[in-house]
Amino acid sequence: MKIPVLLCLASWSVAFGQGEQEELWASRVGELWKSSTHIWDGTEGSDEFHQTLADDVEMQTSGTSEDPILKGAGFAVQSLPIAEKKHLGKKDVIEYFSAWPQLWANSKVERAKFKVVGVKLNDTVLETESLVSVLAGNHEYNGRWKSRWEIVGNDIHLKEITPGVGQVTSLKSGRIFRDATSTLLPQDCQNDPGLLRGNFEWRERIPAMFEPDQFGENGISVADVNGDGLEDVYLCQIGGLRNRLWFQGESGTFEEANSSGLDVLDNTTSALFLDLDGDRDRDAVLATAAGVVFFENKGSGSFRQRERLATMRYGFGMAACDFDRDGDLDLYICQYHHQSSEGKETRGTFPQPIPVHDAKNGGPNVLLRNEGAWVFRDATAELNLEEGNVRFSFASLWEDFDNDGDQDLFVVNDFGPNNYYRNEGGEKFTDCSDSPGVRDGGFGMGLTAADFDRDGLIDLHISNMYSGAGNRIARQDWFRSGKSEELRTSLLQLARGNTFLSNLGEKGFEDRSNESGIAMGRWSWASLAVDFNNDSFEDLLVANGFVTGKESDDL
Amino acid sequence: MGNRNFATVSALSGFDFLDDARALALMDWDVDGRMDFWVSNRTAPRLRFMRNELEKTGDWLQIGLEGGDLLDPFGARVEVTLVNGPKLLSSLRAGEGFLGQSTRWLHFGLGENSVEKVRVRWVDGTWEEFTGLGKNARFLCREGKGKALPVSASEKRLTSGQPFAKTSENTSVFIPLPVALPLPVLHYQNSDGAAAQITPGQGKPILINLWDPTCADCETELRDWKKESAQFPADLQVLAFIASGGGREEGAQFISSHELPFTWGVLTPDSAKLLAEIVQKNMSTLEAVPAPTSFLVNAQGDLVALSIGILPGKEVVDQLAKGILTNVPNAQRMQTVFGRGQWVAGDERWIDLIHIPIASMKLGRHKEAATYVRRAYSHLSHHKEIDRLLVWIGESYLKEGNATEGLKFFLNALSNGTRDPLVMNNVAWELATHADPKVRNGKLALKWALAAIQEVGDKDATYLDTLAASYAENGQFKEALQVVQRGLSISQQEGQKHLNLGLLKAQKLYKANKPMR
Repeated sequence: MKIPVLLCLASWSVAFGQGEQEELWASRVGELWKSSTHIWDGTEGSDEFHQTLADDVEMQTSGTSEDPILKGAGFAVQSLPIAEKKHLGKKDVIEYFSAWPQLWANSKVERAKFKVVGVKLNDTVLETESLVSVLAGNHEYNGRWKSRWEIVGNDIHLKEITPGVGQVTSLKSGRIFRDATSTLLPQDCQNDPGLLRGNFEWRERIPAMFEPDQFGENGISVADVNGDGLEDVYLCQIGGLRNRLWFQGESGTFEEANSSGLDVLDNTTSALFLDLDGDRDRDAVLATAAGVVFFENKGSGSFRQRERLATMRYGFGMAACDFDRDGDLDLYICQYHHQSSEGKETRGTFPQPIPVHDAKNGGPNVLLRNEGAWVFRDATAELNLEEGNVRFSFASLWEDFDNDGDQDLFVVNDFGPNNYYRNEGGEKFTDCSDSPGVRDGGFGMGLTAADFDRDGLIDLHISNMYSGAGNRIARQDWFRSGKSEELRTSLLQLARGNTFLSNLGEKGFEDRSNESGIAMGRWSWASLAVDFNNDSFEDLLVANGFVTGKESDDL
Repeated sequence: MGNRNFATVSALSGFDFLDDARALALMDWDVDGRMDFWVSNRTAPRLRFMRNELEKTGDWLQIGLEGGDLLDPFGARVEVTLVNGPKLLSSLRAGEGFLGQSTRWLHFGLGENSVEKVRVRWVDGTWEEFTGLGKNARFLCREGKGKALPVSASEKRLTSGQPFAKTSENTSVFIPLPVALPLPVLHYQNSDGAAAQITPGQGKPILINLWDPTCADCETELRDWKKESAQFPADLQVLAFIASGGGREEGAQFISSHELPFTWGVLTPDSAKLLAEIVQKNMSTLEAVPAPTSFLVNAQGDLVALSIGILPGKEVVDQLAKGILTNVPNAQRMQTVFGRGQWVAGDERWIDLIHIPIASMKLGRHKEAATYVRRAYSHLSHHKEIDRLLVWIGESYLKEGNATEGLKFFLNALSNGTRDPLVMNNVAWELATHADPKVRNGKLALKWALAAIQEVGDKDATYLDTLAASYAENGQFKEALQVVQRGLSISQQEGQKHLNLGLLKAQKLYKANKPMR
């Protein structure tokens, strides 16, 4: 019998479905809380919140701030405890709610955010949990508020507000960072559409054939490229826009290097600058849509293209070290996916990860062993790095995690557990992905390593996706109720947020994400550890508009 | 609380922009011991430099490493022992975070402590102690030298501190395509209301404009074209199409009132959809095709450039003068738009156009689809479903009684080395059962029916039905009946009613030693 020929291509769908009752209420609650913040910042729009308050609404009182629980150079952290007292009735609650920020800040609220992360519907009773972040002057409050609502027809009444234990961080000075981009970059960058147009606007102009990556996964590198002792900046760009290399001058301002040979137009995800041929200047390797491309530095920051590994078109994070200690630098390159059977798809589209929490159809990562004279050989298999090499990998990091003197390899993966390979003296690797803590299982994006707890073992921070929707949904009873508890847990894990792994040495890693307070990093991409305030404790910087600072005494 | 180890300072950081931030790279730009950083964004601006302006910080120390073999000894570790304090560790890395590379200067915050000892573990695993380091400065430690060198930094001042701002957008854009794309036949209603079509590739370049009588930009554009049209090349055919499916009367009024000298008409909804799809395939962000949108087509019938928004007549003249219609290498063509830069990849570009012949097929225009497939084969041959499309076209030819063309497409599909069981099955079915003896070929039918079974196994009654028909066409009725029997048991079990009926009919025929027709 003939089969009707129907041609269609699969499209990729988002991990978490929507449209369930709880989700609808969660978004309504989010709107109502947003309305409430107008009470604090004094702008109009709080009517909706006023109307939603039930006549017999209750609000748990917060205690006043006590002695700092943390103190560092230039900042202090105080806890805002729960008090016994409750306020009853609409009038009282509004009064208390309005004045609540004054408990911990003496200046006006500039900005307040509520993010609904938990929702439970029981007949007409809705219980929600929200992350609350409020900025007032030099103070920032972060807490987790519970609330109870009653649903009457299409209306919703707020019955109870319970602010949990919160945390107030105070800075001695105004802000930590200031955007000084225009001061450093050349004048003409101020009206350069290549820099001042976003990904979306560019994709309206660049034909899809040029593979302008829709996720905008384009990296940035700092290195002394021309060898003058000053560090330069290289920006990777989407397909159709040239990558930018700016040389730093003595005065600290930057000029675009016009004849560097690195003004590549192919979509470029990342770049490393490193001496690959041993002539004491920094060469370049780029992960592009045209493959992994090596460039030789001719000595003063102008480059000649050398090897091009054209089949490695889906490279993302690259990390280099001399893993075999033979005196030259080798590279590990993550390939997020590989070419799908649909032919030459463009960048930014990729095969559907199946299943979403344990996808094994990602691209092959490759260890390139430097053989000298610009020969880089794929040594992945012979070094035993093929174990588990099936993931959607974004980033890897070399570090001597087991303190045996050689560089081990940690790989973070989207849509599945992470990989950890221990280096056995440069001869081969042992897959230790089953070690405690390693698998993690968030939507891994990036990672940074530092000895956060100062015990002589290097710990890890992994940036993952934090999904409010994922958190809400995975916690609901109906969700995957027919499926195994294991799957439910792994899906919840997927949405949890960032991961902090404390290195225990022989015993693997201990997941201390929730205890350490870093889990809620929203949708994180890069994270880096460094001591920003020079108090000798490492801080964390997470890209997405989220910064966290440091330590305590018990870690 | 004691068990929380990090405190959030997001809002206080000065870094909580609405950007979609991606990669980070650390750098102490002004060497003031307060680490700054660069960030790349998906959104505008594409990057930011964030200067650390904390007023009160502790002491610090920055260490650069230089190896014997390796200029940058990635993997080397520095251990700073504080007086009466713990040890601080830091390693030199190439690649950390997400798609980023940070400064080579390892940064140590000291708090109020002093440094007791600094040791470096080089890449080969040996430890070396360094002397000569102080605080609040940079030092270079070179492998084997034992004594650190102080590194002075030039003084830097921030003159202003303006953040980057988004540009205001001019929404019109001329987009040369990196690869010329074969344009399909377009159907329209002409100014008299009669059905007409334009077949690209008849030796003349074409400028197609999609417009709407109610759109002010369209009016501006078409009047400008009229003004410049004397400068247009004599052989350039200008076609102004209304793409909204209606509005012919308003269109006629508009054209005559402005005395526009262009051929015009109303595109059929199907052709309008096809053009919209071509635009969207190229410009993946566009949800709808705005009016006006223009298409520049060369004499071979290939689309070489798109214009979204107003395309000034002068730009048409300029672009044609620059030779946009002739086959310049794509890199060169693109440079006129995006400025300087170079491609690593050459002309290995390709775009998925299979939706164009599929659209024709869905409208029952298989001849149009066939012509298009032949013209655009290099853009289609990579597609995983190309063989299915060829079979589909072949089937349509057979249906109208054109056995020669039909078989041609069948053989083409098979000669690609297909492993698609559907392709094999459908070809085998036609070869085994077609009414026209010129089409039938029992031996070949059996070969492909068996090949299909090899791909899918013998658990699918559809494929078994085809296999049975192939046996029957070869006169092997015993085998045919066995296969039908297996097919029947499956179709009954699976409740495949339609298939079951077909198999019962087959059983009756084969029992009577008759092949399937």
